[in-house]
Amino acid sequence: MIQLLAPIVPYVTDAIYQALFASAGKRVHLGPWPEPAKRWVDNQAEHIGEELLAVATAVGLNALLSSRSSA
Amino acid sequence: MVAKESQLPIDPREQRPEHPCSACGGEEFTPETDVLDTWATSSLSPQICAGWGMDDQLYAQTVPMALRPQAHEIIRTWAFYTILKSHHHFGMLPWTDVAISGWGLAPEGGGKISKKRGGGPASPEEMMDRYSADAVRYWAACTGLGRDSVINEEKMEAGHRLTVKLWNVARFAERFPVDAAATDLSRVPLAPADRWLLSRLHRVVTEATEAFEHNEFAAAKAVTEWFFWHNLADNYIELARNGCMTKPIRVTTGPGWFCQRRSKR
Repeated sequence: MIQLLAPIVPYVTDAIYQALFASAGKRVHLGPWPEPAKRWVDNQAEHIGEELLAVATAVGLNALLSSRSSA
Repeated sequence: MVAKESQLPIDPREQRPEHPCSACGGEEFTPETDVLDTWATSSLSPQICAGWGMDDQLYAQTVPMALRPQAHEIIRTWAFYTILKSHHHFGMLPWTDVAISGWGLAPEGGGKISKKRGGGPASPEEMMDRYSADAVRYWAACTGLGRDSVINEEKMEAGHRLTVKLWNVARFAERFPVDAAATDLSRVPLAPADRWLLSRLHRVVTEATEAFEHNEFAAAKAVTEWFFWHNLADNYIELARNGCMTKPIRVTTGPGWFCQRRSKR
């Protein structure tokens, strides 16, 4: 994620990389470009994730509505 | 007879020497009317930058170069002369790709931004002071090759918001200890939300990489930014923040971010 955005916003990504991932390399701009890993592509997981988000969104919306009605 | 450096720039057709010729004392001069093509050295910029004649190892490693980025108004000059000189002197192309960008335009019809013309009412320097260099680069990355782009403060603000959000998400991730044993994600017990995020991330890596390989940086930025805001920041992080996961860890490989160990719900 940080590596993907490094060419677009180079300063903040490098600062974050140095602060959080210094053990992986000193500068994000000198490190390797991330390799896509096909083994992580999982249609079922993406479907479950979307369902999870739909539930979380609905719960969040209901919580918001109930807090407004009780206010 | 040549002018002193302190007299430059001069046009010899209009300005006479200040003194008689130091060699013969003559006071009648014929001005030089030929123009030295100022692309003479810039057309060798790949070779000069690669250390031609000065650093053989660097030169061997970097020539031909990968990319010439430049705008469209100097295709006939800079691009053409560079190709011509490289062909005649070295028998090769100077680079494999040329990326032709548009211009950055000053707002309110201010025209092209340049050192000579300045930056207009909202110059890039002023935008950098107000929003950061990252925000200005973000604005520039919003427009694909070949297209002009007017200075746009809304895009600068969007770039600024992205940098702030990235920083805040990083600070959130910082709370979780790095698990040294979790450098290999396949050894980490993953929650459904982790698998969803990883799957989405690796699709984004594929799409962004393909876009960058075709110099379509605006498309790479768009797909990555969408993932960051709509998958990672607004949803995955919120699930984590609201306690939907337990035993969080931060991993340094794989997504280059962090994931959560086990889902509570």
